[in-house]
Formats: sequence, structure tokens, C-alpha cells
Amino acid sequence: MDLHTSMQLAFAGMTAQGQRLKVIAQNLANTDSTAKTPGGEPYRRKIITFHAVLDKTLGADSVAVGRPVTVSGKLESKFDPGNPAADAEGYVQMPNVNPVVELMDMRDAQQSYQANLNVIDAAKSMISHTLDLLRG
Amino acid sequence: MDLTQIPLFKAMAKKLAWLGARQAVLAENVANANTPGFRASDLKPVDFGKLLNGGGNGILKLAATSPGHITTPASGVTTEAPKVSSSGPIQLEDQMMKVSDTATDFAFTTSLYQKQIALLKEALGH
Repeated sequence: MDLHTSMQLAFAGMTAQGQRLKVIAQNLANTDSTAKTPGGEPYRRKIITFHAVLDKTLGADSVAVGRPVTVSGKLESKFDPGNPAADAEGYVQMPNVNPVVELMDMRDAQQSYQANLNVIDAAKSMISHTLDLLRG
Repeated sequence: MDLTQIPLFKAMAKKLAWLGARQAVLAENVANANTPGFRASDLKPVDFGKLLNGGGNGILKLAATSPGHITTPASGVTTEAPKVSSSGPIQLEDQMMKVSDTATDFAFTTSLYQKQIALLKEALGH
């Protein structure tokens, strides 16, 4: 039934957004995670990728989450000679996590999650209206 | 009595099926709102008024007593609406509007259905 398909698709969307939020939380938690050894690599920001996959049982394009991708790019250095990760000059490489960007991403994930929730609500109300027909 | 033989009921049943199918397409769009390159699609609107006024299969055909008689032509209206893709990224607000529109239409059609059943029951003296 189409309405159940709608619900299944919305569930897939919610799962995907949930996973996205998980990665965002991981990034935010590791904003200050430096390496343990001098000159080592600090934590690098990870992002999630989405792609449409044809769900053959539903006959519609569902959403799938790919593996989290590590974002490369320049790292900022901070002068902190006491840190165990500090190099010979006393500089520590910091993660490339920007909390503002993560918060924006979080907002976006939240919005998409809510949109999927609204679809479920609408499908649910449609199903209950159909069942109401039995009452005559 | 087969209710689906009554054109109005037939049209309403088709409308409900169409709305259900549309909701599935919209759910697909919303689930893929963050998928790069995914294009929003929607069902082509169907003119149910036309379906009711003699188009489609709900039509009352003229009785033909001889194979040589000309029958009423088949209408071009079908409820198997094709999917149309729009260009550009998915706009969640737009999709939400469509979702709530579909749900409201569905509620409207089901209540109309109930009213028609009540009317029939009234006529039957229940």
C-alpha cells in the first residue's frame, strides 16, 4: 500500500538524519582532540554522505547513508608547549572542526528529521481516515 | 450492489488511490532531501471532474444491440498519473505544503465518501 510505502521512506529518511546527527555529535565532541604524540595527526572532521537507492520491495527511491568521509584540508596550529602533542617549536595541530559549521549542519539535520516526521503524521492521518470509512 | 459501478464512487476511489500514490512520491522526495543530485518528482494532476463527467471507465455506455453500432469513445483520462521530475534541488517547505495538501484532500474525499454512503443508506430507509 502506498501509504505504508510513504511511512517506510520517511523512516529511512529519519534513520539517515539520525546517523548524520551522530557524526555531527562526534565532530563537536572532538573539537579539541589533539594527537597523543608530538607531531601527530589530530582529529579530523567527518561528514556523512547520502545517496538515493532504489528499494525494490517498496518500488521507490529510498535513502542510504554512505561511510563517513574524513575531511582533509589545512589544520590550524596553536602554541601550547605543555601539550604532549606539541612539536619541537611548541605548536600543536588542532582539529579542523568549526563548531559554527557543525551547528548549522545540526539545524539542517533537525529540519529534515522533522519534515520526515510530518510525512509520517500525514500518512497516519490518511490511514485513520480510511479506517473511519468502516464506521459509515 | 457494486458501489464501484457508480461513477461518483469510482472517481472517489481513484482519487484516494492517486492521493496515496502522491504521498509516497512526496515521502521519497523528503527522505532524499539531502541527497546530492536528487530531483524532486510529483505526480501529474488528474482531472477528476472530467472523470466524473463521463470520462474514464466510470462512464455509462450506450447499449449496443448490434456490433455495427457506434459506441461512446474511450476517454483519454487515466488515473495512472506519470511521475514528473522538476529541476533544481528539493525545497522542504514546498514538499511540506504538498504533503499537507494531500492529507487534507484525502480527509475531504473520505468524508465525501461517508456522506455519499449515508445518503444511499437514507434512500434505502436505514
